[in-house]
Amino acid sequence: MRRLYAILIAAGFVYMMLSFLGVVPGYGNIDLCSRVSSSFLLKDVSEQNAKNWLMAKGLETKSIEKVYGEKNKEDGCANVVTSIVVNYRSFDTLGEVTVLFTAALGVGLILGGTRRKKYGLLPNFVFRESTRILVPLIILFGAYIFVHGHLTPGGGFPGGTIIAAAALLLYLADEEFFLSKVSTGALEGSMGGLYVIAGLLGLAIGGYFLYNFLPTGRVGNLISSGIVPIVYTFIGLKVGAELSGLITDLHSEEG
Amino acid sequence: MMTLAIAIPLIAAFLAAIRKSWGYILYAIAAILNFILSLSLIGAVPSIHALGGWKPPFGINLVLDNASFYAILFINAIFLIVAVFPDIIGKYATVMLVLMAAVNGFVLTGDLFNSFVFMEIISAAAVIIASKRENYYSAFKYLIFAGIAGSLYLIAVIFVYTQTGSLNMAQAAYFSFSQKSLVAITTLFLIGLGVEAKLFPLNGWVMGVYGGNDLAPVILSTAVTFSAMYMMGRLMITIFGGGVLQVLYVLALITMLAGELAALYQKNLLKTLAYSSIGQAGLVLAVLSKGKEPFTSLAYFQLMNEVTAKLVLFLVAGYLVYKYTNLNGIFKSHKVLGTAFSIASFSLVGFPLFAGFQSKLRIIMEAFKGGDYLLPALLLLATLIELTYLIRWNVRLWFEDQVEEGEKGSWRHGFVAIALAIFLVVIFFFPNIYLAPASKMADAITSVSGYINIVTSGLGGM
Amino acid sequence: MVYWISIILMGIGIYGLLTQKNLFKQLISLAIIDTAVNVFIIAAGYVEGGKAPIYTKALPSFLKGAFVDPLPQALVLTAIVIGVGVLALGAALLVRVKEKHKNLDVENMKGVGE
Repeated sequence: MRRLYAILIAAGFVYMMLSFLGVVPGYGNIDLCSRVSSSFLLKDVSEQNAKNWLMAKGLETKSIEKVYGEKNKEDGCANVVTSIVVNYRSFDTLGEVTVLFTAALGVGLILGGTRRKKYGLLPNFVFRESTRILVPLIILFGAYIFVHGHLTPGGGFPGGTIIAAAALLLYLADEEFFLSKVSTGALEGSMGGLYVIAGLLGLAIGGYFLYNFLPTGRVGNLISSGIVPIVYTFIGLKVGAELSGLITDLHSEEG
Repeated sequence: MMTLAIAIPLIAAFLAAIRKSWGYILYAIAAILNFILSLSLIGAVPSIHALGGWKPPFGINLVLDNASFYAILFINAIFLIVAVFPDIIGKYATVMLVLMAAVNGFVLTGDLFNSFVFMEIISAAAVIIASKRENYYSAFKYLIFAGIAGSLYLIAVIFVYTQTGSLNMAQAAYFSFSQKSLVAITTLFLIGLGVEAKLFPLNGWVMGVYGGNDLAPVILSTAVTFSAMYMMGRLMITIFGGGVLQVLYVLALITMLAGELAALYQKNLLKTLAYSSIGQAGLVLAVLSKGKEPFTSLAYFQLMNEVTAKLVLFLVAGYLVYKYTNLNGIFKSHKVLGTAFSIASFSLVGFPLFAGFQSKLRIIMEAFKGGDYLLPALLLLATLIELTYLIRWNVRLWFEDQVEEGEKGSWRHGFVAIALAIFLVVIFFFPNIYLAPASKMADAITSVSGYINIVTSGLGGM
Repeated sequence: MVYWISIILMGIGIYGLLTQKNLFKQLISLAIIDTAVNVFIIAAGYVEGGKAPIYTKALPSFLKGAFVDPLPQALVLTAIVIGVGVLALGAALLVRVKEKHKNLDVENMKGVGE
């Protein structure tokens, strides 16, 4: 009986969503010029007349310019997704970082152990030795990913996850390994604080919270796009510390 | 300036993560600073803040108008009141800081996706708070409900994005949606917000969470509920006017009756109050769903009265339930707490001389004037049920033979509870203390063109 | 087509939430719904034949139809991280539920129902 009701409710939901689908434009068949993202791609947000945008649809026609390799192209990110995540909608990212922070905090509060759980299994010799070679390389690769977030796919979140993978590998390879919660907590707290302080600096210098107050440089260079790589470094380290802390919490027991 | 209302608690939360022992001190400082800040924001109404300097439809903006100003003032006042109780907050100070930042952001934001992010922070923080006192199963149920709500809210945001081409609330308010898309969007938003607003049938988590510990009901039934009701009005009336308001009306009436009836059969004090807050939420939503003045201002007036009364009730109940196992006649040893509890419950029912009377009477009169007899009839029925169980609890707590030896009470609880209770009486004689802000909020919420104007004129200097 | 897949996935998730008595399976159902929503968002930003929105030497300027919509991708990045946070929290709660109630099956849990 329960299954029947469940099927009915699920089918009703699917039917409702399918009937709502009529208002969404067809798959792959969208007009970017009616969306704000065309301005993100063209990097002409500060030239657009926002009032017209709010009041009526449409993009002011503008000749297509070359973006890659040019100087002073608004925020100077080659990766447009990164420029949205860390620049145009940086406040969302601050919120996102906070969700992860809250989750890590909550897992710590709920599980709250202080000692490493032991399984009594000695890992393979090859695994243990290769871990010692791999861990620095993995951390280096994670750092590479978040430092190049404004140029290539990736950024702070994937980079931080890769760093946390190094911590997971250490946990698997060594029964005695235990990351201190104090150090991961201090790292994530200070990085989160630095992110907010970067935002407040923008408020003090440019008048807007999270304002990009550094020179943006040439699109496609490593040193470009102002505070974006700096903020992504904060995020990368913070996410790495948070996820490592999560792994620690899930591996710990009271005692 | 208004970003500081989010930045201060957030930076305090990050600092508290470095040194756990600073948690409560930082929470107290942030609560005081935030309250002073929100008072000082009155000079800045109305204005917007474009984050990062990117103009509204492109970047994220915060909107401070009359509605959001009074909402954050009220919410920060609640957080300040809770800061008086270090023993309730305990090791949850960091989570409370995150919650404070998120609720402020949720109210201030003028961007749909940003409001989703803040809603998720609120629910994550609320789940952690709900898990206090080993209340893990209820917290997990809440997590599932909040997870579904978040997903549907997010889909609604994407629907708006495919229609208007941006995530900005002002643009969505200006945009003329087709009837079909309006129904789709408002249905999804209704489900998404319904969980936090305790709408039937999405309120299965409430009794477990409110009835499970002393911190969760005190903050979730007050500040978080207030922000959810604010957002409900903002989205359903200002931004997507029309839509499925009739559906909300029917569901809200069911919520009201179901909540009060369930409260009648409860044996546990905290759970009775939890069901009662479902019933009251139903009343506020039903009045709000009329979608026009003067109902909107009365809805917020009733909400403010209810939240103040519930703060007292949950403070007293949460304190007593975890101190004694048998509550019979316990007010004989806690006369101050008992008086505050009785005043708050009379105000909740709506006796003359207490704040609830002013709002409930006005709601009934205005509904009659508008030719609606269903709402007054059901409201009176709900009030009757409410009267029955609250009187029963009052009699049991005051007059039955005391089983347990009373201990010395906490002066903090006594002081705060009696002060708020006296405030409820003051409001009966001077209803404008709440009614004036409520009608200013309602004006800002019902005026669509006013909202768009605030955002477009805020663009002037950019 | 992709929209349909995501909506059917959501339906499967809701069916799972309603029928499964094991709390961990409910959490997985929630994860399925999360994923379905992410698929939906990405689909809403796809442009026929579009490439990843990154400027390179080969694609130095914005041409119509060259890039997919970058905004939904940015939103999904946020949504994924939020989903991870919620799942981690749920998993931690379940560890404690198992300790306290001895079972993850709703019907066999001890000390619930009072």
